[in-house]
Amino acid sequence: MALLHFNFESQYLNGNTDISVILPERPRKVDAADFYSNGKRYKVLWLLHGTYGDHTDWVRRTNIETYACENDLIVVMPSALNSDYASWPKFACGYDMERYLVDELMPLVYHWLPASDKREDNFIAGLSMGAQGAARYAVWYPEKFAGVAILSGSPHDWRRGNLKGAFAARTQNQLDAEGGLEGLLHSHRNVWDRIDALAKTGTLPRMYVASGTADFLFQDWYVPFKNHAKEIGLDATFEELEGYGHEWRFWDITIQRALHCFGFQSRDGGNAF
Amino acid sequence: MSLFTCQLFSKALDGNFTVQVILPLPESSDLFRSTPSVFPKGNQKFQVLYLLHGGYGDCSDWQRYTRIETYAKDHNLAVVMPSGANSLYTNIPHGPRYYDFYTRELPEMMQSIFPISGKREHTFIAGLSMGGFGAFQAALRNPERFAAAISLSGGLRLVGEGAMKKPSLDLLTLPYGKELEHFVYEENDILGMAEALKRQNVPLPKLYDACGTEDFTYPMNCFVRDKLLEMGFDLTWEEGPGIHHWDFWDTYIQKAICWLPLAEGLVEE
Repeated sequence: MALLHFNFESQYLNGNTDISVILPERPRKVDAADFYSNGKRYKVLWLLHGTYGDHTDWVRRTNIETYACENDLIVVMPSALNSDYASWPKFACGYDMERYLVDELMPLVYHWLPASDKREDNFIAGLSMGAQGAARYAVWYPEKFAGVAILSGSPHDWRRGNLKGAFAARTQNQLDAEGGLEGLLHSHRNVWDRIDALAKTGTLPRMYVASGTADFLFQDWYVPFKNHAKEIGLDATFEELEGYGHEWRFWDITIQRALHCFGFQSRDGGNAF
Repeated sequence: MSLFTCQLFSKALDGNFTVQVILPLPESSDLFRSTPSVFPKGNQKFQVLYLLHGGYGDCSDWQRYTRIETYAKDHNLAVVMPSGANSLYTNIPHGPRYYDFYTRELPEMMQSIFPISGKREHTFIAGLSMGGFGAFQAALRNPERFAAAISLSGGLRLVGEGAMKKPSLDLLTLPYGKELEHFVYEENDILGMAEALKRQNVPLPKLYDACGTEDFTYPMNCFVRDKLLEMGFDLTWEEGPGIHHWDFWDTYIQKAICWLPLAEGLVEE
């Protein structure tokens, strides 16, 4: 199978950055020249890591490469530090994940790789902080994605306050970066209100939301969002897995369920081994 | 958790090679679970599993297509994954000596670079398909180095009675020659190695053999299993629904690691 590691200087991150890309696999019975020159544009999954992670996580800790190859799917996995996939203009020379993803990585992928840029062929998913990121791009750029998978990191209402303990300082940094709560509510970090605004318009991507019942975010984030979604009539698929925490076992299962939910049900692509 | 990609020089291979090494070092999940990962100090070492890929593959396979890093972490086990090309993990006549490399040179290098145990009771080897052959070969010919070997859907019999019919990949010509003129029964056949080992009076390695019932290697695995059991090997057999596929290997490498006679945590050396 084909796994690419790109390292290049990003205009918006102001420095070198890494991405991993899974590309569809040539079945052994297909001639290489035919396969690589067939002109096909493949569907794309934008797959985001969580806090503490990087572009290698999903490949190392799940079987995403197998699931992608079975479905002839391109998977793009960027590195985002602990940025929440947000813009941090005051970090060093500026670290703008949002413009990087939308205005730099997307053109790169669509023009350098055999990737389809059609909405119906693009999906975004992530775990934990990456779930926040996936939700953010899905609701602020709903014209770019047909589906979004939000794994262990539901949208939440910032007005309800946020995590305590180890994440309190982080929450404060997030508020400071946007000029306090009011500023944050007007920023793209505010996914909660944006969903309210778009819930009934039919413009949102297909939404898959999952959490383990033993996840430390289950009661604080997942349950309120699920209840809220019901109240506002949001069309989304919710799944809870009994006993799972904030862990890779859960993400390996639910990324498969998400792909299934988006219509990827083939087991025929690539090679079995 | 940590993943090291090493590019090193090998005398046996006459060139550079790549090996991937997983060490169960502290990681972010320790913040959420009470896993006991620590950096080894002094004489503390990791128990180690040498993990071999199959035909067509390389040292990145196990890490890319299974969740081996998570299992390694759960069991506090170091995992060393070398590349073996399509060599059958055999010394190629007038070419790279893969057998010498993965049974001797590689473990010596790993022990000198990483806190990895060199003791028999803490050293295990596993592989899938061609790598299953490699795992059994290593343990049967070096019982003083490996305490246990795991073969998943192994290519355990390639010549003679019970051998796999028409493998899709011709693995035999490269190491053994067009007329199999370099094939030596007691060195290159799993049953031949097992017979030779039984004639010595030394502790035998424990063996674990698993295969999917729809796998094209299933009849061959049953044949070899029966022979090894007849010879008196301590062999654990497992089978279940499955073809020659990573789904099977991801499931059974977990079971196999649970079967290994592992110590708790780090070992002293």
